[in-house]
Amino acid sequence: MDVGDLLTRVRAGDPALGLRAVGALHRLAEQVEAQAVVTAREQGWSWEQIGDALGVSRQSAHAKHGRAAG
Amino acid sequence: MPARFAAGARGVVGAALAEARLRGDRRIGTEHLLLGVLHHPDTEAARALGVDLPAARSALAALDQAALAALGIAVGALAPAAPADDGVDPWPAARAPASGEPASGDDPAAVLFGHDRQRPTPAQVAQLRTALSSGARAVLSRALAVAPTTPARRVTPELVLLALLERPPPDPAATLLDRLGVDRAAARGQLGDPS
Repeated sequence: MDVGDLLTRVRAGDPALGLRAVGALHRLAEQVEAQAVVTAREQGWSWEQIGDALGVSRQSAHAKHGRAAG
Repeated sequence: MPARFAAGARGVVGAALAEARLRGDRRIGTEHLLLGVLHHPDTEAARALGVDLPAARSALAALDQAALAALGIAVGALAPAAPADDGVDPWPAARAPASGEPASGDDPAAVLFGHDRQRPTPAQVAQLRTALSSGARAVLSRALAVAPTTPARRVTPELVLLALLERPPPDPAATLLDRLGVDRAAARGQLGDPS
Protein backbone atom coordinates (compact mmCIF):
# COMPACT_ATOMS: atom_id res chain seq x y z
CA MET A 1 0.00 0.00 0.00
CA ASP A 2 1.34 3.45 -0.86
CA VAL A 3 0.57 6.89 0.47
CA GLY A 4 -2.07 7.33 -2.21
CA ASP A 5 -3.91 4.28 -0.92
CA LEU A 6 -3.67 5.60 2.61
CA LEU A 7 -5.05 8.98 1.57
CA THR A 8 -7.88 7.19 -0.17
CA ARG A 9 -8.71 5.34 3.01
CA VAL A 10 -8.53 8.48 5.09
CA ARG A 11 -10.84 10.30 2.70
CA ALA A 12 -13.14 7.29 2.66
CA GLY A 13 -13.79 7.80 6.34
CA ASP A 14 -10.96 6.00 8.12
CA PRO A 15 -9.25 8.85 9.96
CA ALA A 16 -8.16 6.44 12.68
CA LEU A 17 -5.49 5.00 10.40
CA GLY A 18 -4.04 8.38 9.45
CA LEU A 19 -4.05 9.64 13.02
CA ARG A 20 -2.47 6.43 14.29
CA ALA A 21 0.24 6.79 11.64
CA VAL A 22 1.01 10.34 12.83
CA GLY A 23 1.30 9.13 16.43
CA ALA A 24 3.44 6.19 15.33
CA LEU A 25 5.82 8.54 13.49
CA HIS A 26 6.18 10.66 16.63
CA ARG A 27 6.87 7.59 18.75
CA LEU A 28 9.31 6.20 16.19
CA ALA A 29 11.22 9.50 16.17
CA GLU A 30 11.38 9.57 19.98
CA GLN A 31 12.61 5.98 20.16
CA VAL A 32 15.26 6.51 17.47
CA GLU A 33 16.36 9.74 19.17
CA ALA A 34 16.72 8.07 22.56
CA GLN A 35 18.82 5.23 21.17
CA ALA A 36 20.95 7.52 19.01
CA VAL A 37 21.74 9.86 21.91
CA VAL A 38 22.85 6.95 24.09
CA THR A 39 25.14 5.74 21.29
CA ALA A 40 26.50 9.23 20.68
CA ARG A 41 27.34 9.71 24.36
CA GLU A 42 29.05 6.32 24.46
CA GLN A 43 31.19 7.43 21.51
CA GLY A 44 32.17 10.64 23.23
CA TRP A 45 29.88 13.21 21.64
CA SER A 46 29.38 16.35 23.71
CA TRP A 47 25.90 17.56 24.61
CA GLU A 48 26.55 20.58 22.41
CA GLN A 49 27.26 18.38 19.40
CA ILE A 50 24.17 16.29 20.10
CA GLY A 51 22.03 19.40 20.53
CA ASP A 52 23.29 20.79 17.22
CA ALA A 53 22.51 17.51 15.47
CA LEU A 54 18.98 17.49 16.87
CA GLY A 55 18.40 21.18 16.27
CA VAL A 56 17.97 22.00 19.96
CA SER A 57 20.13 23.67 22.59
CA ARG A 58 22.76 21.82 24.59
CA GLN A 59 20.65 22.39 27.70
CA SER A 60 17.50 21.00 26.07
CA ALA A 61 19.30 17.88 24.88
CA HIS A 62 20.80 17.27 28.31
CA ALA A 63 17.56 17.95 30.17
CA LYS A 64 15.71 15.45 28.01
CA HIS A 65 18.30 12.69 27.80
CA GLY A 66 20.79 13.34 30.59
CA ARG A 67 19.33 10.77 32.95
CA ALA A 68 19.22 7.94 30.41
CA ALA A 69 22.34 8.78 28.44
CA GLY A 70 24.57 10.21 31.14
CA MET B 1 -10.71 13.45 53.96
CA PRO B 2 -9.27 9.99 53.30
CA ALA B 3 -6.79 9.49 50.50
CA ARG B 4 -9.04 9.06 47.51
CA PHE B 5 -6.65 6.99 45.43
CA ALA B 6 -5.69 3.65 47.00
CA ALA B 7 -2.03 2.70 46.68
CA GLY B 8 -2.86 0.23 43.92
CA ALA B 9 -4.52 2.91 41.80
CA ARG B 10 -1.58 5.26 42.31
CA GLY B 11 0.64 2.43 41.13
CA VAL B 12 -1.46 2.11 37.98
CA VAL B 13 -0.98 5.81 37.16
CA GLY B 14 2.75 5.63 37.92
CA ALA B 15 3.17 2.62 35.65
CA ALA B 16 1.11 4.38 32.97
CA LEU B 17 3.52 7.32 33.05
CA ALA B 18 6.49 4.97 32.72
CA GLU B 19 4.84 3.24 29.74
CA ALA B 20 4.13 6.57 28.04
CA ARG B 21 7.78 7.60 28.39
CA LEU B 22 8.99 4.23 27.19
CA ARG B 23 6.87 4.50 24.04
CA GLY B 24 7.87 8.09 23.36
CA ASP B 25 4.40 9.50 23.98
CA ARG B 26 4.09 12.97 25.41
CA ARG B 27 1.00 12.39 27.48
CA ILE B 28 -0.58 9.60 29.47
CA GLY B 29 -3.45 8.20 27.42
CA THR B 30 -6.08 5.61 28.20
CA GLU B 31 -3.97 2.93 26.50
CA HIS B 32 -1.18 3.64 28.99
CA LEU B 33 -3.62 3.39 31.90
CA LEU B 34 -4.59 -0.02 30.55
CA LEU B 35 -0.94 -1.07 30.48
CA GLY B 36 -0.66 0.33 34.01
CA VAL B 37 -3.45 -2.01 35.15
CA LEU B 38 -1.59 -4.95 33.58
CA HIS B 39 1.57 -4.04 35.51
CA HIS B 40 -0.07 -5.57 38.56
CA PRO B 41 -1.13 -9.06 37.45
CA ASP B 42 -2.26 -10.11 40.93
CA THR B 43 -5.17 -7.68 40.95
CA GLU B 44 -8.76 -8.56 40.18
CA ALA B 45 -8.61 -5.93 37.44
CA ALA B 46 -5.74 -7.58 35.57
CA ARG B 47 -7.34 -11.01 35.90
CA ALA B 48 -10.60 -9.70 34.43
CA LEU B 49 -8.75 -8.74 31.24
CA GLY B 50 -7.26 -12.20 30.70
CA VAL B 51 -4.21 -10.84 28.84
CA ASP B 52 -0.73 -9.99 30.06
CA LEU B 53 1.51 -6.95 29.76
CA PRO B 54 3.83 -8.26 27.00
CA ALA B 55 0.80 -9.15 24.86
CA ALA B 56 -0.66 -5.67 25.26
CA ARG B 57 2.65 -3.97 24.48
CA SER B 58 3.05 -6.15 21.39
CA ALA B 59 -0.49 -5.31 20.25
CA LEU B 60 0.23 -1.57 20.49
CA ALA B 61 3.47 -2.04 18.56
CA ALA B 62 1.61 -4.04 15.91
CA LEU B 63 -1.00 -1.29 15.51
CA ASP B 64 1.79 1.23 14.96
CA GLN B 65 3.60 -1.04 12.53
CA ALA B 66 0.45 -1.49 10.47
CA ALA B 67 -0.18 2.27 10.33
CA LEU B 68 3.43 2.94 9.30
CA ALA B 69 3.26 0.17 6.72
CA ALA B 70 0.29 1.99 5.21
CA LEU B 71 2.66 4.93 4.68
CA GLY B 72 5.17 2.63 3.05
CA ILE B 73 7.45 2.67 6.08
CA ALA B 74 8.65 -0.74 7.15
CA VAL B 75 10.07 -0.90 10.64
CA GLY B 76 11.06 -3.91 12.67
CA ALA B 77 9.88 -4.21 16.20
CA LEU B 78 11.59 -1.37 18.05
CA ALA B 79 11.70 -3.09 21.39
CA PRO B 80 11.81 -0.64 24.27
CA ALA B 81 15.31 -0.44 25.65
CA ALA B 82 14.38 -1.57 29.15
CA PRO B 83 11.26 -2.73 30.91
CA ALA B 84 9.45 0.00 32.76
CA ASP B 85 10.07 0.19 36.46
CA ASP B 86 7.02 -0.92 38.40
CA GLY B 87 8.11 1.02 41.43
CA VAL B 88 8.43 4.33 39.64
CA ASP B 89 7.12 7.31 41.49
CA PRO B 90 5.35 9.40 38.88
CA TRP B 91 5.75 12.74 40.58
CA PRO B 92 8.46 12.57 43.22
CA ALA B 93 8.37 16.36 43.49
CA ALA B 94 4.96 15.99 45.10
CA ARG B 95 6.70 14.73 48.23
CA ALA B 96 8.74 17.89 48.56
CA PRO B 97 7.51 20.52 50.99
CA ALA B 98 4.80 22.36 49.17
CA SER B 99 3.35 25.75 49.70
CA GLY B 100 0.25 27.39 48.41
CA GLU B 101 -3.32 26.31 48.33
CA PRO B 102 -4.17 22.95 46.82
CA ALA B 103 -6.56 22.82 43.94
CA SER B 104 -9.93 21.58 45.07
CA GLY B 105 -12.90 19.72 43.64
CA ASP B 106 -12.79 16.49 41.73
CA ASP B 107 -9.83 17.26 39.53
CA PRO B 108 -7.93 13.96 39.49
CA ALA B 109 -4.69 15.85 39.12
CA ALA B 110 -5.36 17.57 42.42
CA VAL B 111 -6.57 14.59 44.45
CA LEU B 112 -4.25 11.90 43.12
CA PHE B 113 -1.69 12.63 45.79
CA GLY B 114 -3.92 11.93 48.77
CA HIS B 115 -3.84 13.46 52.23
CA ASP B 116 -0.94 11.36 53.48
CA ARG B 117 1.50 13.31 51.37
CA GLN B 118 2.37 16.92 51.19
CA ARG B 119 -0.24 18.81 49.30
CA PRO B 120 0.83 19.54 45.74
CA THR B 121 1.37 23.08 44.68
CA PRO B 122 -0.89 24.49 41.98
CA ALA B 123 2.10 24.26 39.64
CA GLN B 124 2.45 20.53 40.32
CA VAL B 125 -1.25 19.99 39.78
CA ALA B 126 -1.02 21.86 36.50
CA GLN B 127 1.94 19.72 35.48
CA LEU B 128 0.05 16.50 36.07
CA ARG B 129 -3.06 17.82 34.37
CA THR B 130 -1.13 18.51 31.19
CA ALA B 131 0.48 15.08 31.42
CA LEU B 132 -2.91 13.38 31.09
CA SER B 133 -4.81 13.13 27.81
CA SER B 134 -8.40 14.32 28.02
CA GLY B 135 -9.53 10.70 27.79
CA ALA B 136 -7.28 9.62 30.65
CA ARG B 137 -8.47 12.57 32.72
CA ALA B 138 -12.09 11.59 32.05
CA VAL B 139 -11.39 8.01 33.12
CA LEU B 140 -9.82 9.07 36.42
CA SER B 141 -12.61 11.59 37.06
CA ARG B 142 -15.19 8.86 36.44
CA ALA B 143 -13.43 6.50 38.86
CA LEU B 144 -13.28 9.28 41.44
CA ALA B 145 -16.99 9.99 41.05
CA VAL B 146 -17.95 6.34 41.56
CA ALA B 147 -15.55 5.61 44.43
CA PRO B 148 -17.74 6.93 47.31
CA THR B 149 -20.47 4.42 46.43
CA THR B 150 -18.13 1.41 46.66
CA PRO B 151 -17.08 -0.58 49.75
CA ALA B 152 -13.46 0.58 49.52
CA ARG B 153 -14.62 4.20 49.16
CA ARG B 154 -11.42 4.88 47.26
CA VAL B 155 -10.26 4.62 43.68
CA THR B 156 -8.92 1.10 43.10
CA PRO B 157 -7.36 -0.47 39.98
CA GLU B 158 -10.74 -2.16 39.43
CA LEU B 159 -12.56 1.19 39.32
CA VAL B 160 -9.98 2.59 36.90
CA LEU B 161 -10.46 -0.45 34.67
CA LEU B 162 -14.27 -0.20 34.80
CA ALA B 163 -14.02 3.42 33.65
CA LEU B 164 -11.63 2.36 30.87
CA LEU B 165 -14.01 -0.38 29.74
CA GLU B 166 -16.81 2.18 29.36
CA ARG B 167 -14.88 4.10 26.70
CA PRO B 168 -16.15 3.40 23.18
CA PRO B 169 -13.94 3.37 20.08
CA PRO B 170 -12.02 5.28 18.83
CA ASP B 171 -10.68 5.65 22.35
CA PRO B 172 -7.10 4.27 22.32
CA ALA B 173 -7.80 1.80 25.14
CA ALA B 174 -10.90 0.51 23.33
CA THR B 175 -8.88 0.08 20.14
CA LEU B 176 -6.21 -1.84 22.05
CA LEU B 177 -8.78 -4.05 23.80
CA ASP B 178 -10.42 -4.85 20.46
CA ARG B 179 -7.05 -5.74 18.99
CA LEU B 180 -6.42 -8.05 21.96
CA GLY B 181 -9.83 -9.66 21.53
CA VAL B 182 -10.97 -8.67 25.01
CA ASP B 183 -14.77 -8.66 25.40
CA ARG B 184 -15.34 -5.38 27.21
CA ALA B 185 -18.85 -6.26 28.39
CA ALA B 186 -17.69 -9.62 29.74
CA ALA B 187 -14.79 -8.00 31.58
CA ARG B 188 -17.15 -5.50 33.16
CA GLY B 189 -19.43 -8.32 34.23
CA GLN B 190 -16.52 -10.12 35.82
CA LEU B 191 -15.75 -7.01 37.83
CA GLY B 192 -19.32 -6.93 39.10
CA ASP B 193 -20.55 -4.00 37.07
CA PRO B 194 -24.34 -4.34 37.02
CA SER B 195 -24.86 -2.17 33.94
